Amino acid sequence: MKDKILLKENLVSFGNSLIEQYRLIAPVKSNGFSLYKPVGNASEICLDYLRPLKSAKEIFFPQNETLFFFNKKTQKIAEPAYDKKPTILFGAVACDLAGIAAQDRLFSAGAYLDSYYLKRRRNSILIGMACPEPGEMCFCGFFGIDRFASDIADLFFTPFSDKYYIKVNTEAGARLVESLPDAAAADAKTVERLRCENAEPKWDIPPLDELARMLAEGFEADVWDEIAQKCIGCAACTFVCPTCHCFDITDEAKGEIGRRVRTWDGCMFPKFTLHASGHNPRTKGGQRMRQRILHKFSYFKDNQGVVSCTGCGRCAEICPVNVDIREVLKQLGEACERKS
Amino acid sequence: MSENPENPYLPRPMRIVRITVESSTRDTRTFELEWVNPEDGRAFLYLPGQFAELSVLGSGEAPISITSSPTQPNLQFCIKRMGVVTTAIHYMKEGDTLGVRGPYGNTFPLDLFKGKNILFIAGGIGLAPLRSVINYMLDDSHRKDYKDITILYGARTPGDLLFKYDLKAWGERPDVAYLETVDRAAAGYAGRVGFVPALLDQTAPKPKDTVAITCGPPIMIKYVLKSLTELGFPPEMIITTLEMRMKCGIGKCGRCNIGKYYVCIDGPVFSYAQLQKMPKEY
Amino acid sequence: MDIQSEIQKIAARLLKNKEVAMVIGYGAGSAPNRTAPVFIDKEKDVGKLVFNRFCVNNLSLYLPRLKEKGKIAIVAKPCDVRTIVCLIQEKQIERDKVHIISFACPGLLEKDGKTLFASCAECAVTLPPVYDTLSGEAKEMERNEPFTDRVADFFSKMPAERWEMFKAEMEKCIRCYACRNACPMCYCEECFVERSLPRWIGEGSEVTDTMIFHIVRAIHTAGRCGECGACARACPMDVNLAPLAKQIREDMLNLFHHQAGVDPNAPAALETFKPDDYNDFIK
Ligand SMILES: Cc1cc2nc3c(=O)[nH]c(=O)nc-3n(C[C@H](O)[C@H](O)[C@H](O)COP(=O)(O)OP(=O)(O)OC[C@H]3O[C@@H](n4cnc5c(N)ncnc54)[C@H](O)[C@@H]3O)c2cc1C
Ligand code: SF4
Ligand code: SF4
Ligand code: SF4
Ligand code: SF4
Ligand code: SF4
Ligand code: FES
Repeated sequence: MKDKILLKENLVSFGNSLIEQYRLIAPVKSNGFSLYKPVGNASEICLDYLRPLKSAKEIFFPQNETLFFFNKKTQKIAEPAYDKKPTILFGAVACDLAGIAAQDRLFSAGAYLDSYYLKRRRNSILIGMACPEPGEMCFCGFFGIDRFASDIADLFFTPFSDKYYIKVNTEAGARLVESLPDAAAADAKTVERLRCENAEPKWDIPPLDELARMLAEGFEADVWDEIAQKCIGCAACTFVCPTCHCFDITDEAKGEIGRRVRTWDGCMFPKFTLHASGHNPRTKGGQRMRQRILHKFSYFKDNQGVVSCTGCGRCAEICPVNVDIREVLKQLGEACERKS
Repeated sequence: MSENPENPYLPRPMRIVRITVESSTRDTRTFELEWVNPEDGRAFLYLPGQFAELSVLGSGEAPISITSSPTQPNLQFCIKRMGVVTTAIHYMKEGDTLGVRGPYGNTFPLDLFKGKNILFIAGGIGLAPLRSVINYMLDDSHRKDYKDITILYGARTPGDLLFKYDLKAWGERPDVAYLETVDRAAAGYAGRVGFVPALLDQTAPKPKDTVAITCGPPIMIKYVLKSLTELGFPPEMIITTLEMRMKCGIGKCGRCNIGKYYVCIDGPVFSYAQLQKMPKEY
Repeated sequence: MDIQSEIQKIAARLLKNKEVAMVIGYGAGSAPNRTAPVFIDKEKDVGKLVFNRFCVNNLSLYLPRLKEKGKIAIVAKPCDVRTIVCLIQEKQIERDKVHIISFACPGLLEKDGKTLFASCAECAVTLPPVYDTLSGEAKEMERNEPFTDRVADFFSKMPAERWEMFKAEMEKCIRCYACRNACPMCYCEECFVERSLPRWIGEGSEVTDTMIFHIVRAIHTAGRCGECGACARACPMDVNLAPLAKQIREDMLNLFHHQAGVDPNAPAALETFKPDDYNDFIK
């Protein structure tokens, strides 16, 4: 498979050529921030970003999804109609692609496959886009995530001068760019140079392997209460996160007719673990913060083989009280040092 | 990449064939169900310890232990009225249908139990999951696989003792030692009064070749674990079940996560040895 | 002396003399143009207290949950003080258990560092209604920063258009409830949105459910909202409900002659009945 070149001025026509056959989703700007949204015309695409405010996860795992409709009287249930038109996610940044990779693992892990997620995901094509500059809360580099490449993307675009260099990773991707000119060896070099120039800064967070040990030790540490003291328990951090996958299942009915829906939920909500008896295993903010951090950096890794944080910085960006996950990890490191 | 996996969230219809009111306060009832479509039943193969998600359209789902034994023909669930879903189930009548999906979770370690003495210690509705494995072991086809079987059961009041028909049968069997106790006596009750852990201390079972299986309210479990340890039971030989808030039952929704375990797939049955390594978040 | 140094000095004195058990204030944020709440209980830590124009949170939300610690000092903007007054009126906290450190407020800026927050541009209380220590010069501040008057914009529209605007705002909402959680007046142990018996609104993100949440929240904060704007600033999706709040505020003023949180001795609006209260809704 040959890598390709697209002139920036041809991006809109390239995008529009996809819209006929695919549901095209791309970053769109409104109200001063960008979000991944379906686009009707490729001219709506906005690439002068920072990563969109919300992650790309809702494309495959929507915030609110009808599992089935039902009729209480007849006891009949019916799955919702499903749009067979394949989806192209265009312009996904590396942290989002890493988030999708983590969710792919979770939703296809073990004996149970999540049909809702996989149906959409398997009928999709991912087109990545090099992220020009990390935002002030970003730390994807800490996880070794490459802003200029992604294995899980079918195609990966890197802008340089007046062109995009298109790395072709899969047959499905190759078919989309068949008619575009091949990239020259010199182009590949230019892109590689760009990538090296953008080497990641150093992070003053304990390295990942050390972090795992600290987290194991830190389970009972008081530092969790300290960290969580300012948290207001809104769980917005879990909603914007590309890897958070927790959900609730509830019924909504009007008269006889209704639907069973699943909606995002999160371990930062105080009622997440509340039993019907009134017992709650995690009553304190510190316990919930610990669950969130340990689930990302320890439990998910134990079960799915990867850490479920991609360093996108969204949680820190939107937290109303500036709980910054980088600071949390640092504080934890310091607390563990104090202890030893 | 186009073949679509089977939808794991669809409940299968079951018809209520019998409702037994278990407690004198009427808040706990056993529902015996049969499959509306027999092929769903053929696909539902379970062992003691597992649970199912019971579903009432319009109200939601609740995880409930299977209290029947796979040696019995129909599925049985013993349900205490707690909130939205359990109340909706309590309003149902014989002949009504509800949805079931499962079976979920791990099973009691039947291989570990083989050839051993078995000690059951149950409190209140904690007997529901144990009843499945008790009746499984007591079935003619399995009884020979186990040595002495002792059952200690307690409830708050005599009226709260569940499955009275089974308790009677177990008490009458020569190959079962059945002992019961209540926290508070009531008029006409001539049996033992006292807490379950005290009964355990009086009985003082020998740990040799014995597995202890316990289920009940958290406070009972706490003291039972302490007593068993003092009696010399190693943590690997103490088996219990955990309850966590659950939604999906299939390891996706994250609600039942404790440490690296998901209670819905790695549990609900755990040994005390496993519990000791887990964060105390249950 | 600038406001920040004065706050630090006051906090040091209060902690040293053991007049308070803790000072709740603003600390440095993890990125430029941000701050974060800090909880100081040792005199040596008062250097962590900062004050600048990015002190976006209303810290009085922490008062009820920390009251068992004893008397607490709090750094509060004049609008935040109004919610403290409401919390006192509603018996969530006691006046003599809180030491209010306030100041003449210069108004807050958005993260761009130049735009005045809309709620601040509208704000009429640049001095706190009550306080224990006041720092900064007690004078009206001049506010020259630009701001977008989304409220005026909203009210210049026709009803049908307003409905569309309201719906568009509602569609942005992700129902994280950060607005509610950031609001000191939303202190209910169990919010109606989380009740399951009976269930008031669906869990999903149906826009009608979202509307119910926001409308009910607006009504529940009627006559109690200090107009601190903390809810709007907490919102990750930049949902703008200022017109709704403004309408309710004006109704409270015009119909019930009530302004929230200006007089700690006055009873709460919805707790009182006056014979001349507006009652056109009972016909
Ligand atoms: C493995 C396992 C086995 C069990 N076995 C048994 C058994 O054999 N017998 C038995 O009686 N019990 C058993 N339980 C306990 C039983 O599952 C609970 O009592 C039951 O789920 C309560 O559900 P409910 O709908 O009646 O209660 P509720 O707590 O009222 O829940 C109703 C629904 O309302 C929603 N809801 C409740 N609170 C909130 C809130 N704050 N915010 C939003 N939504 C909310 C939830 O989505 C929930 O689905 C078992 C539990 C587990 C985990
Ligand atoms: S966004 Fe911030 S305040 Fe809200 S739950 Fe997460 S950490 Fe807590
Ligand atoms: S935890 Fe925060 S930084 Fe990590 S992936 Fe989630 S939102 Fe991004
Ligand atoms: S447990 Fe918490 S951190 Fe983990 S996926 Fe769920 S919401 Fe996210
Ligand atoms: S509703 Fe908003 S403006 Fe009013 S007191 Fe609450 S946070 Fe402040
Ligand atoms: S903070 Fe914003 S997004 Fe969250 S519930 Fe409130 S209005 Fe909606
Ligand atoms: S119940 Fe959903 S993960 Fe266990």
